[in-house]
Amino acid sequence: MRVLTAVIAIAFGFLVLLGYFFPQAAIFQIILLDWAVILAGFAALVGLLNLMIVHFDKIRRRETGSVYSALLILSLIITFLAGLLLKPQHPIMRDVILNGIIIPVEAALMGLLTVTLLYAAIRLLRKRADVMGIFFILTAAIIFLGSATLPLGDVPVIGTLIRPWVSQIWALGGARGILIGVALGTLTTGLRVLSGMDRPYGGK
Amino acid sequence: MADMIKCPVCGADNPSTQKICQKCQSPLTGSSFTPGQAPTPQDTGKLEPVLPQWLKDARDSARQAEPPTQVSQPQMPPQQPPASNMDFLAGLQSQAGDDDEEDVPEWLANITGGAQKPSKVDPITETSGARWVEMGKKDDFAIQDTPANDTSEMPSWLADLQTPEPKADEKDELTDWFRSSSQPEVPQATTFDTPSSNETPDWLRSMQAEANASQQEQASDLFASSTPSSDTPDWLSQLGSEEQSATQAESSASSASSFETPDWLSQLGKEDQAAPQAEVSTPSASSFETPDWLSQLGKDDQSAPQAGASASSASSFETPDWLSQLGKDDQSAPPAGASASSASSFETPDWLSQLGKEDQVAPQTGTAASSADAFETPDWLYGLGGFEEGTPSVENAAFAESAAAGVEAKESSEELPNWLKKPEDVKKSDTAPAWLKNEPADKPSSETPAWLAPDDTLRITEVKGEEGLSEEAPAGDDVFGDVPDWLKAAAPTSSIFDEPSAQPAASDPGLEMPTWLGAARPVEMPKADEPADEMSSAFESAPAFTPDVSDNGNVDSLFTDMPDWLSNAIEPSSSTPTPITSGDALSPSELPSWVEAMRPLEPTPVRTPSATSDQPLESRGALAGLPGVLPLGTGFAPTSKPKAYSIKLNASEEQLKNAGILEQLLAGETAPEPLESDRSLGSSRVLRWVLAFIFLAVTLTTSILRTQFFSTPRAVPNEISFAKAILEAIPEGAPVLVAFDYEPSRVGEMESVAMPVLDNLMLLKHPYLTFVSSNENGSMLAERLLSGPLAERNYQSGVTYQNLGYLPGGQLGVRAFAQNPAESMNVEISLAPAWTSGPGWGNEVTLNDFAAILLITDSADAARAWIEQTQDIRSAFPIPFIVVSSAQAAPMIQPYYDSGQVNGMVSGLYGGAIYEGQYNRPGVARNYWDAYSIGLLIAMSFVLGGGFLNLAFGMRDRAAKREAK
Amino acid sequence: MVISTDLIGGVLGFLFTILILSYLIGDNPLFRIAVYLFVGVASGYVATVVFWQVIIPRLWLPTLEAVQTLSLARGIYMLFPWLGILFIFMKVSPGMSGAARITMAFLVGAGAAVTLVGALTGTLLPQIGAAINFFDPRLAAARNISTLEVMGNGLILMLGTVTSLAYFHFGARPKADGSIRRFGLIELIALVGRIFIGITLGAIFAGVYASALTALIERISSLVDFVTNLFGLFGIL
Repeated sequence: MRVLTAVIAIAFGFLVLLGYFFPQAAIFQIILLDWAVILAGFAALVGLLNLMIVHFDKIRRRETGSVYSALLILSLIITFLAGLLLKPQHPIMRDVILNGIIIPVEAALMGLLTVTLLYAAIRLLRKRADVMGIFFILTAAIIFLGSATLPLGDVPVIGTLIRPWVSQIWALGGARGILIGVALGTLTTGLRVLSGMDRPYGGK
Repeated sequence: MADMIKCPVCGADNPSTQKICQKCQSPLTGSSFTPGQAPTPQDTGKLEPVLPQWLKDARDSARQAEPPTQVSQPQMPPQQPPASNMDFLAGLQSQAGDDDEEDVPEWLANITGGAQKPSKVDPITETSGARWVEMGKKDDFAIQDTPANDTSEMPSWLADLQTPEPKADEKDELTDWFRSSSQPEVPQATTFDTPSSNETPDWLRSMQAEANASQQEQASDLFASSTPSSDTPDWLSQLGSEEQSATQAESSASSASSFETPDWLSQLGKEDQAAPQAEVSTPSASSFETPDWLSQLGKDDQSAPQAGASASSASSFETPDWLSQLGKDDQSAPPAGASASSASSFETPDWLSQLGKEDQVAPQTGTAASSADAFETPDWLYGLGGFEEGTPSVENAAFAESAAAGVEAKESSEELPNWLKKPEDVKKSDTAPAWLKNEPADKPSSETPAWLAPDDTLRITEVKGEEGLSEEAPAGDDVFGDVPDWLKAAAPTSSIFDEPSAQPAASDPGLEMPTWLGAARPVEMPKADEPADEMSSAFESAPAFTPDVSDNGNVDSLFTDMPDWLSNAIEPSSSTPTPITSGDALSPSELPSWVEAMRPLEPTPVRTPSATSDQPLESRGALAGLPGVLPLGTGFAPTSKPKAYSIKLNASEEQLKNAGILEQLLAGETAPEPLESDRSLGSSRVLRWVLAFIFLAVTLTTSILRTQFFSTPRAVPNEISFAKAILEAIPEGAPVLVAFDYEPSRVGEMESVAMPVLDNLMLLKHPYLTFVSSNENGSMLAERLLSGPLAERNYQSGVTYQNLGYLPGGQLGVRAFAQNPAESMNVEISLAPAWTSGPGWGNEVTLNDFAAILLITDSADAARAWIEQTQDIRSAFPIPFIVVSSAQAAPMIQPYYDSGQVNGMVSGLYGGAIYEGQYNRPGVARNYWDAYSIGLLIAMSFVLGGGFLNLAFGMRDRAAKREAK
Repeated sequence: MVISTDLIGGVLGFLFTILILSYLIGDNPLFRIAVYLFVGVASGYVATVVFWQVIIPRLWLPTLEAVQTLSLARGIYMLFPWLGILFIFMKVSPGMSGAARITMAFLVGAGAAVTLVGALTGTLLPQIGAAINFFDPRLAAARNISTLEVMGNGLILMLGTVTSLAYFHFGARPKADGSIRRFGLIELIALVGRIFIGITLGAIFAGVYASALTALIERISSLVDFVTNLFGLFGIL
């Protein structure tokens, strides 16, 4: 099985790879990617099924917080059944589920980050007083100040000169370095997978 | 018959087409070993399937074999290397009984697992408990532990003797080193007349001088110090002198292959022949195959007088003087209790014969020496011979059996190396192998020396009697498994020349010198008439081993500082016998590193040869002259000494250091890190509440009051200007691809920035929008936007826009869509066919059909996926790519804008407010701006003020901690 | 009286926003109830989306079409996704769970190829080129950037790019004192890289904070709007 999975990963990977360089092989790439899209979507469903199983187990074992798990499963089933009946874009689904629950909860959770992030930034230099931390705080403060405005307009100099300079030159340099590093890492990982050295699908 | 192949194992003829021997199932062809060839590391587990069936059977039978019963050795110290109980002659002995009966050697028969006699295997298996460490369970491969003799796998000590074959221009480094550290010539009463005496190491001379000095101290142990030649190693010279005085000649176990064995061994053989005992006959070996030293050995044995007769050395031109002297000494050895007779037969090396004979005459006096103190014995000696700590077993007097009335009688057995200690009941037990017994009657019989006959061998013979003797294989080869090579070379000499029997047992418990060295102390020397003071001066000038063995010389220093022991040995005080104390005792832990490094840690398994008469004679090695001992097959048997693989981890200092670092890391990982008592927990909660209150108050106030006090940003960044320009350049009604890739959590921000962009686009250009989303909720958020803030634009699904829905797979899905949008997403979310409304889509829709791509995302990863997977297509056919992003993703998208891969970018509420200001159409961004601006100012104040205040606090805390430390 | 879905959504939104924001006081059961309900609802909604937007249009309808039209090619084409799904479901069976790895291997192999080429052609080469091209005066002029700005900012950009990359070079050797440190020159470059990384992370942090602040403002505004609309509905305001 280990050999089979490795062969499958390598073979299909190279077939997809060929599609980038040879137009004649693009059809294989299209077909394989179409299958991959279907399977990836189905994998998402399987993930949700796993979520249900986990919480079912918690209920069955009467663990602490199993009431919350029951709530989760109940809401999941109801939503799914309603979605099966109405489709996601139905106004009821959109207004009640999306606008009434999902967006408020997620946005409110995101809003909580405001306090948490600010608190963390304040405490940062107490724990980590190094050059990176200091520049981190300084940059954040400059961008805060430069992004804000005064009643009469932009904050002089900082909003018009320093902030763009910091965010588009200084931060850009580091961001480009990070992106290149990420790309190199992706490249290496892809090559390792395609050469069979890494087998994240299992089998060593 | 020309196409017949002889089996390298059993010698049977097989057709050339056969790959496996029809008789023994051994492979007929195989890669041969070449001398010096380094073994290739192999995973033996991989070789399991290709093992011959007979070997599998052997292993199976070994696993199934019952644990051998302890016969006569009641307890075995756990720290004792069991392998040391093996005798390299064991295989020969076990073979002796059935030489004429079986074509297959006994050891091979045992290996095959078929019809083997359990009595042959079990006792030996019992003693071989060492190899299970590396090979599996102790009981595993028990049969393989049966010692077998094979010149191809010559014991290391034999091979070691082989290598220092005296050569005119090849000198041993160790010898040179010893010589360099040696003192001026020792006055010597006798000189070696062998021409190669300059090869003698100095340390041998030192031993000789040491023995001389000891002779002065003990009136009963007068010796005639054989003065080595100027280049003779002192220790060997010493040995020689000791041999001269030995009351019992023991053959050297340090054998070499016949051609390569130094002549001094042959000289020993001569002396051995002189021994009167002839209980065990050795097989004859053709004289032409017998090297000179063996011939000489035989002569000496045959003609050796009882004592005092200094036989002239007839060693070959390669024989060093000191070796010749050894022979002389042996010749002059008194026969008292010592069976030094050795057969210089055709088939048996004389020294082997001598060994056997000595074993035969081993007295019981060694029993007294068995009260050994294990702690007094160096490790390497301790592990040699089945040393039994505190056990006064007769087996421990192994060496004493060859030293009838020898020094062991007066020496404490605690000083005896185990390989010297043997079961005392050798008179009853015939440990000589059968092939030795087959020695012609006119040949002096020999017996395996005690140090070659291990404890278990003797045990076996005790139990089984004569019959068992012929079958059991002494496992004595491994006795030397732990002995350094140079000591191995010296060991036989010491075993040959035993000490006077007049010494009472355990009379001197303070011996520090190993017993075999003590045994080498001469009792009777040709130069016994030399003045004592001359001896003393000679001793003082002796470079090595100055202290008398029996006088508890400074042996500690010998083993603690290798270079120093030579110098220590010549200390004048060392000539004085020093009573040994417990503090002087050489504890195992004091073993110097150089000795440790020289120890062969693993015994070399030897095999029992076959001695069928139709087998060819051995021409090399210790078994030269023996027929059928070794398997045939040129190139099959390795000619090089098998490497002894240590199971001990030999790590360099750097490795140890790295291991220490790793250990510290692991310890740091596992060690519970004490939680800092968060004194500021209460204050942090207050701080959070304060922050929450401030933000809630600000946002509530600005929302309720709907203030627009703060001005929106006026400076327009280039990326926003480019985005606006590009979107304004889109043709009227042109198809625009809109990728909706943001989470519901950022609806507020994304809608505030996306809405002005889309609103103005829809208002000005009325594009046909195609929505697609690589986020599960993206398509629904697009519907929400279209049906909410953008409802004024009255965009209708399937008419002015199409929502293709969720595109799973991340980059896979994006790539699939970029390759062929129509094929990849062919239906809308309403399951209505897509690509049917709007502009005239061709038969094949491509990404180039869109006038622009508008990516609305809150994730830098999503932006990267879209940018990367459409890059090649957009490079060939430039398609404007606009990114509407959240503020958090903007810094990581900025490089793509800078590189031109993104043509315009509007990010965050800041960008949305600017974009709204560009069209002077205030919207959501404007409504949020006051709260947003105040929130940023608050954040800036807290971050700067609180941050640097905490920086100061942190520095103070760290300073306080440093002071506390 | 017909209760509109807008109103239900508004009420739910109001309640859930309050429940979540109650976390500002501290963790409480109401907050947990809201979170667990949200997870269940969001999961069910995502399942619905996947079902209606992936399974039905991409798997079920083509298969149905293949069956109806008896198209062998189409049937074979659709056979592979079904096989993959079958393998995934085999994960339920302990004895055959390994079959799911076949599907995962296919996804990983194809995904590796896609991301590999994407990273190479979409990020690595363009970004390296951009770091070089920043010094090109023609491109700078095209983007309305002065030459002086090009030289100064180009150097900063180049320095930031190189030193940031060096910062992620973690190869080190043990020193004589046992410490493990990077090569001296790399260490120096990485120190400069730390500054650039700090600046970049500070910019990202400011963006995250701005996003969070915007979300909070949006939530508070929605609460105010809901209350305002509710009171307006009842004629209070």
